[in-house]
Amino acid sequence: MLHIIVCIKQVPMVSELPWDPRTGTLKRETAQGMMDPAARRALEAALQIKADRTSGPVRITAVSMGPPMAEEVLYEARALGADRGVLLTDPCMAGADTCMTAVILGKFIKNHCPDAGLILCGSMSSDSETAQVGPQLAEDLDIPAIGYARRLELLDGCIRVERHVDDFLELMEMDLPGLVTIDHAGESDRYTPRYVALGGVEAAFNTGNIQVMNRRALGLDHAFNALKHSPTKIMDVYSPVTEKKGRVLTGAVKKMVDTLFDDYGKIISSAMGKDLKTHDHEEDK
Amino acid sequence: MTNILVVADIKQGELKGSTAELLSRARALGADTAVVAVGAQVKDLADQLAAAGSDTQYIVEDASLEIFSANPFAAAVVKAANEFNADMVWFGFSETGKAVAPRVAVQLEAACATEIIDVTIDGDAVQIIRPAIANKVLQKVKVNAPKLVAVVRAGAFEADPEIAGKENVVALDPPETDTRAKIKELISDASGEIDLTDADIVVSVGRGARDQAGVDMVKDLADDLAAGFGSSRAMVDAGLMAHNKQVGQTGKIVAPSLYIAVGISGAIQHLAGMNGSKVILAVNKDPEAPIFNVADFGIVGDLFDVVPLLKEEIKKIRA
Ligand SMILES: Cc1cc2nc3c(=O)[nH]c(=O)nc-3n(C[C@H](O)[C@H](O)[C@H](O)COP(=O)(O)OP(=O)(O)OC[C@H]3O[C@@H](n4cnc5c(N)ncnc54)[C@H](O)[C@@H]3O)c2cc1C
Repeated sequence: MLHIIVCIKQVPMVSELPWDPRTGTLKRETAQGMMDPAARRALEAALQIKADRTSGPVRITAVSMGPPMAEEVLYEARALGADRGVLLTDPCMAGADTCMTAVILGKFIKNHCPDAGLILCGSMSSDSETAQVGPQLAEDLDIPAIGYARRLELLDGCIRVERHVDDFLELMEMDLPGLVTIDHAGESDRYTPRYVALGGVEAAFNTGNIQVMNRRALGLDHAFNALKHSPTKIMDVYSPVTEKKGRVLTGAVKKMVDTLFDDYGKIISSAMGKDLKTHDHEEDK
Repeated sequence: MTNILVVADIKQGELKGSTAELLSRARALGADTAVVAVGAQVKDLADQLAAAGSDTQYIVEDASLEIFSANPFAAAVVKAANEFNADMVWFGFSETGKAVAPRVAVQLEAACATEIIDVTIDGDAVQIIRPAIANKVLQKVKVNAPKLVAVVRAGAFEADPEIAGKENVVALDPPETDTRAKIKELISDASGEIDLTDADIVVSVGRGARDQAGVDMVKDLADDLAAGFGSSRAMVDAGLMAHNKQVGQTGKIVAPSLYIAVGISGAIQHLAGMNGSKVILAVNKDPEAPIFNVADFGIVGDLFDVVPLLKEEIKKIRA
């Protein structure tokens, strides 16, 4: 029996950004939450492995570390087909950075899922975009890891992974237990997440079996304090000034292109590694 | 004094521009600099690495490092970091760098930060700035650990041509090969093409180009400019462009001297991948397209009319 652990983060909907100016962290309690799109793809990958009869029996545990409201994404994971949902939550875990998050998830897997064969994460969350938790977790568990996977295939005692990195398509094989992060990709590819009818989530809510674990249940030291022990701490969050007051032209195409080369001909030619004498207009000749 | 170790960005035996950019910034911060080069054949790059601004070059060369694998690569970097007593290890942006950095951080018991755009050192206090949520916000992050491993976002720092280091080559033993995760096959998606993340000019095509003929027309423009050729995700989803050409939050992050967006609306996820470009030109028939909010110069018009004229002008420059 293969035990797959899927690590799922709840992220805020991008349209809302409630930051706590005092602690410099996201006020997740007041944000409208959703399952991180990359984690959703990781769950989809697990569900497809489970559905494939040649994999043999598979059990899926969805785990999330977060505030109490993060249980929503676990109910959703259950509705989608995860066998178990576990929420790791405790006031002392608040403010965990990627490193502390990996430590907490690592503790759960070491102490409570010794039979874990495959750990799946999203490659990068849509809010903090660090791409760090997966590789840090693998290092913490001392297991091999492959990032940015597009396709998985279970073999005997190992897994074959296809991924695109830095202009290469790589076919890799990795011994299990191991960790794979699932990449974002085009909408129409293999791990396009399945759709849940709302009734499905509601039904999962009614079954009501999300396991909640606090610091003590997890086996973390009583002095554990994620905010204090995190090697990075967000001090300030602000909006970058990105709007430019550029020149936007309308009108006759020829005229616009001429103006463009009057204004930017030098820049264009120097980027091309050529000298531009002066830009001459045909009508001037 | 801060010791900063920069991980050389080497692709297909060639040293990429980001290495000099990172070293320039490290020197501007007053740090002692070293660089580590990992690969099957990297010894010959030592003089280039010194010229890029490093005062020590750690060389980890072994035939087993021909094909990138995260574990041995991380082990090699850790070895160099310990040898140099590095306070910071900086990677230039690449997917491989992003995969290795967190592993190096755990082994060095260092803080880890990806996609950083700035670092400040004030005595013992180290702060970094990084964008998040598709560039919607910037985070100022304090480093609460004695060491930092960071991945620097493309285009964040500029290379100072005045800077040069000195050659001081230190060869390190190669790490043990990792047999737990191995590459079976490696297929290049981009042989002979201009590397998007390293190009001076990038031309990107969006849904406005409609079909293969439209894509080919814009590709021609890119070729005339000797530019890298990218695209929005809509074109990747439509199967008209390969995923490794996608620019944006979930694709490549580019910061060329000149970015030309053709038929791209400028969705926030696309902007996240290109709004660090020095000059942005946009062609779109919709005057309200958000791409014009970040463009230095916008042409409101039908790309099927505009692109042929652009090509004519560029032919003149090439002549
Ligand atoms: C989680 C997530 C991640 C994403 N990541 C990325 C990413 O990394 N990169 C990315 O690009 N997108 C990404 N997207 C998708 C993004 O939201 C947009 O859907 C996409 O960028 C749109 O591509 P487009 O601009 O080519 O198409 P459209 O938005 O359809 O725009 C086409 C534009 O072409 C113009 N046009 C049409 N005909 C002509 C003509 N004849 N002449 C001139 N102009 C014309 C139109 O006015 C329009 O502005 C992501 C989305 C999500 C949800």
